[in-house]
Amino acid sequence: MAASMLKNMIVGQNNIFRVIGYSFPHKKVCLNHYRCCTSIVHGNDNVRTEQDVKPRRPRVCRTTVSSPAHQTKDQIGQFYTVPEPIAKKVFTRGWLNPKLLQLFDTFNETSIMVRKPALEIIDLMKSANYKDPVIKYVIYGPQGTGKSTTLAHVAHYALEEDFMIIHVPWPKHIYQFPATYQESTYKEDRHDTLVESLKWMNSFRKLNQHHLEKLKTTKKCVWTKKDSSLEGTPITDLIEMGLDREKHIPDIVGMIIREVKKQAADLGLKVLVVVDGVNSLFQETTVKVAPGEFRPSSQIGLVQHFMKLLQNDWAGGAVLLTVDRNASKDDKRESDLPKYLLGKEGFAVLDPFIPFQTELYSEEEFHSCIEYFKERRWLQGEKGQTQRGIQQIRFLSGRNPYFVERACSAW
Amino acid sequence: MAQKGMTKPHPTLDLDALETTVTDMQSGKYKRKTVRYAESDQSTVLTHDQIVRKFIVLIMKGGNKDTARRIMDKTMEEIKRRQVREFHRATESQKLQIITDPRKIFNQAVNNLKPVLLVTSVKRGGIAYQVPVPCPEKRQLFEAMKIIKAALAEKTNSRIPFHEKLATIIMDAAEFKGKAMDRKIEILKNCERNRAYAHFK
Repeated sequence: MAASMLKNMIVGQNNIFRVIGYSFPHKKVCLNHYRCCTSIVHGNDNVRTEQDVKPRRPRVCRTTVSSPAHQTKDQIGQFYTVPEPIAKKVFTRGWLNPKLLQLFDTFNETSIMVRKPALEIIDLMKSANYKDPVIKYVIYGPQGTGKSTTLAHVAHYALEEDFMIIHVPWPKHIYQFPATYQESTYKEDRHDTLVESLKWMNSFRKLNQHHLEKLKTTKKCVWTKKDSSLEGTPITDLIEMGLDREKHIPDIVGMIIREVKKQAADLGLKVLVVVDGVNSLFQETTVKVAPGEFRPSSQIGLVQHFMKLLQNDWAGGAVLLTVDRNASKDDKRESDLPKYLLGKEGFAVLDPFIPFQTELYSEEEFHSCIEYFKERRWLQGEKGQTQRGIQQIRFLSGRNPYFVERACSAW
Repeated sequence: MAQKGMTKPHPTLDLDALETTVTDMQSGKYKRKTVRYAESDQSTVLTHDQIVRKFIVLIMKGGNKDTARRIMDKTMEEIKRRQVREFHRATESQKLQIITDPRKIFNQAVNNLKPVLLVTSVKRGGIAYQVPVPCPEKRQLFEAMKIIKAALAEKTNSRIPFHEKLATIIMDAAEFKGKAMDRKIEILKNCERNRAYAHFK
């Protein structure tokens, strides 16, 4: 680094003065990674030398252990391939970032890296007592460090252990379009969203078909003057009725969640509730109720139903949550930490929970990721595979998993 | 940009080449060498390619170099993505023939599109004749890129993102087919048609 800097000063003397001191007001300066890299040449103190970046020992980037229950610390940093039937259920749209899904399609396989937060959560879930009230696991961390991927990894474990999965993709979508709000006939002060309720009900049924046969209602429901369902109707019948009569769907969703909460422990069902971006359940919507006042999201029916699942008053499951900066409103995105993003209300509802932080790649994880991309032909070209090329990728991405993939995409 | 010292040598962007000349520096050989300024869009990142850079300038509109560069980045990624996708679904023998490096494909496309002959307008006796003329090597690169630019300007019915359109044109040209190739063949046919006037120049 120092040698090349010195050399540039003498051989390319004019270069330095023109690029540092002289500004080009008449040209739109390219705010791109090229400028980052010119700073390497001009001697940036933050840049590490070559010695810091060399891998400590050669490591295999893949592992054949494809069952999360059997994965241990030895597999951290290695990629495992998710079997196809599970990949179709859990590693799909709504669970993961579209860019990651595109990568799975390009590589013709669904492989993710085994990382520490996921293994810790799985360990705790293995030793949890499902007769006690539910334990809440909250994942937080900077953008691109693997929160959604951790959710999918743990959901893979849950599917193998035959859990019932209740998945809330991105709660903001529920109340995003005020045009779909309808006032509820069941409760005052509640607004329902038909489209989102139908979507959720369909995906819930698809994921948990074989579990729904055990569930039956414990309460008599009167839907209209003509319709009513007695105690003991199976949930599958309710869903069929809902698909016929769309008006009742939001209340059917409430019924499903009520029954799951009540009967999970008694029936021996293990339920995994997964919410990606839980902090948006405690936000305001964009609907104006009065000048300067917005409708709180707690007045939306679906949000109320999902909030019930976050409480401590039921047993027979685990609650897996993500706190994401992007799920908050624009003016509340300064930190990634749970207490800031949840606010007073959210923290009071979720407390107590176990926090897990997703971090940037460690050196070993980074090199493993590079090896995987080389093998999959995402990082290629003679230049991309040199020590210097990998150094540049490490600098450009800052070891952030999302940006490592983005940096490699240019190679 | 008109600079003082336009005839001076270009700066080296190859970090390996820069490092090997350290010992020469100590001998005093490079004491007073002045070098041309590096442009703001040149860099020492290993993905930087001079030919791609020229193409970015060509597709730039209104001085929006940032937009043009982003489009080119997306195009390179799109080419790579399509090739890698095909690679992972191919048989072992097919895999040997699939090139996944987008820069190689771009170079191949540009080389395939370089026209050997061009047509210029020559006035004789008040009439302007289209005279075929050999295209010098320096100009061939520019003409090839101009052909790609013209193929891009063609309107299609469906709304395809610009970078996907570009990727299709480049990948087709590398295989001697597609819109850009048709244009090149049209130019050469025009030269063939007007070969009677070749002696005018």
